[in-house]
Amino acid sequence: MSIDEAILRQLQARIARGAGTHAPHGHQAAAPTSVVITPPRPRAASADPVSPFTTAWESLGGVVHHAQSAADAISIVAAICRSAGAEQTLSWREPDLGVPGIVDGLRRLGIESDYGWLPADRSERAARLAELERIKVGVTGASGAIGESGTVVLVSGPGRPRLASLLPPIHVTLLHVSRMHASLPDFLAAEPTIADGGSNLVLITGPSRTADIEMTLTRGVHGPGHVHAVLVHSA
Amino acid sequence: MSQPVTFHRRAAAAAADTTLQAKLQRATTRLTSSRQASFAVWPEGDAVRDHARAIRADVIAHLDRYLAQFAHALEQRGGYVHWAATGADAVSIVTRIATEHGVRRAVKSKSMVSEEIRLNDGLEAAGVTVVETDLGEWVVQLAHDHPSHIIAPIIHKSREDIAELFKSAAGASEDDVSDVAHMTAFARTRLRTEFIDADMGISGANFGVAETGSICLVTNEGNGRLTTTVPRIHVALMGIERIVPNIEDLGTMLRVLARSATGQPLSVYSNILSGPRRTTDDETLSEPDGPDELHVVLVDNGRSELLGGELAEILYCIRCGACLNACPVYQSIGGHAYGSVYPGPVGAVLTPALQGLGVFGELPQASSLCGACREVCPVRIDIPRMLLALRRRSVQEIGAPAWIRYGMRAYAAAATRPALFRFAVRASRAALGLLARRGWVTRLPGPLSGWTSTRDFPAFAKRTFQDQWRSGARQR
Repeated sequence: MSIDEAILRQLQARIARGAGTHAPHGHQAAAPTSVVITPPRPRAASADPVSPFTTAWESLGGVVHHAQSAADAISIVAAICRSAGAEQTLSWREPDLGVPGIVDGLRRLGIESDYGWLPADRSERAARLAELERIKVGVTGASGAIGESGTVVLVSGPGRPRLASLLPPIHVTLLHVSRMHASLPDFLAAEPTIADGGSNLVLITGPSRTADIEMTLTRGVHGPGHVHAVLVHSA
Repeated sequence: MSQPVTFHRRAAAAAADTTLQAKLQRATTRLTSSRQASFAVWPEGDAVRDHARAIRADVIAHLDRYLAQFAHALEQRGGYVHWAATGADAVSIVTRIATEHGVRRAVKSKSMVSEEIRLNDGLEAAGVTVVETDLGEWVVQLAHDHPSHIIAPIIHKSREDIAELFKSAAGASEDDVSDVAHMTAFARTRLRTEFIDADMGISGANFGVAETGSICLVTNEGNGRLTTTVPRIHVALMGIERIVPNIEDLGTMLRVLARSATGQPLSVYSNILSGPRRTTDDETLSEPDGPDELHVVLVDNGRSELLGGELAEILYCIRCGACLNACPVYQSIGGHAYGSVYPGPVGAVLTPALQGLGVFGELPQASSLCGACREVCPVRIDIPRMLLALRRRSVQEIGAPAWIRYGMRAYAAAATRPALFRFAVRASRAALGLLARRGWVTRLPGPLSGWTSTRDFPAFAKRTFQDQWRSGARQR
């Protein structure tokens, strides 16, 4: 069911009883039409969002890598896996990683990719999750990034599991520098239909963290405590 | 439940609790200074706040339209929309979804609305085990306690309190609780098994996007993402006022929310969900994970009554908690003293607005009207104005306390009889003169001692105004 017409009419009637009355703080709209709202833009958008992104991402505890080629990117990911003792990644499929040859490249180095399919059946799902839970590195491809806040943007979809950026303790995201924007409004203005791409659009700003116990900052509470952004500079 | 008279008792007890005071001071100072620092380096911050306010005002003024648009868009995406007129309706909707799917275990990410409607009690009664997964909320649940802050639920607990609790209620070892990092790791491991075993994820929603039918959950820990991804069914509870028109407006709200709440430019995870997992018969064209079903329960529970009235502005609130941290009353008494799910200045308006002045009539008095809440509010809600409106309403509905009624009547009797008034003034001045030392009275007798227990009272001037006036008139 959608919202009942009678409920909507009642809401409208309640809103209307405030219209036309004196509203000292302007909190009741006088006109029954939506006002046009223009969002403010950042004053001086940096021409180069890479350096603000690096500063922000690193200050949150993330690591930034630079790859000049696909081969570079593959060896960076492999090095992260090796130092974690990981022989498997929970990964997006190759076309969505934006690095040609990465799956084969990693396989030659002894690292297999799991694409994280979850069955709908209850017990199969739990068993599968327990298996995925043991993978230490997740690999994703970012749809964009935001310099001001140190944020990477991921969109779920076929071949793009949500869990790759969530379940393993280490998350590596591959990011083409051409997809960087200065601020969130700049990004959304450039990609207005970004939320249509998949059932989950997530903005990730640094490692998972909590300060619930005595305001003491701790990383990696539910999501990854270690986050790597591999900036890919090649075409 | 809370009685009107007990608010003062709880507040007095909290103010006298020196360990609580230290914890409150640490938390509110940290949160306030983080917020300030993040706005100081954000030149367009004030303009973005104005913009955020305009968005909220537009939404509340056209809520019927935006809600219809939201519901339609969400259904287009394959989600289910439910309308809950009351808290009890919302509980029975969620319970019914759980029962229909044979759900035995549910994981939950932080939701103030679920606290408001006491969802956990309802689900437990229906035989569903509910596990809170936000670290602070899990602690609250293990301790059978209540959150004391909107975004930092356990600021009233020390690390030692939590270590003891983990050992006694969650089977932690001495090693597991040796420091905060270990305690956090313990919670991660324990709650991972809960996520995997859960049939249903229950969350709140910070925002609903009308144009796309998306809901947005903001968390730092990531439990909000796990709750909405791992179990087969996701049920989100959302107050009907939490709508924004489109994704661009959502971006604006996310920016002011994160900075106001914790001083972060954005929270770690802004998780935007547009319908359930998208699948087709072809696995390679289907999303590999996510819930197969998504239900959004729109919770009214008194909110629509506020539309078009003098308290409608409280519906602009985005629950950042900045007004709690800034409030001198909250800083002194903490969240529990308010006796309501929503503490602090926002709670002092919202709780009586939603649940009436009967039980919560004292809350609008819990303010010095200093305006700090309005100053820090990301959408500039005029909380002091509404506190005054509620005080006025309280006098109209319930009447003023007896001592004020009789006191004002006695004053009126004296003030309208010149001879009596002059006598009363002289008598008071003489009495105060006896008590005063160097122009100040440090201790007043009887019921008046309440005033001097915390501050001095000035002695009256040597000559009354009337005397001065008369002699001045003679000089001219």
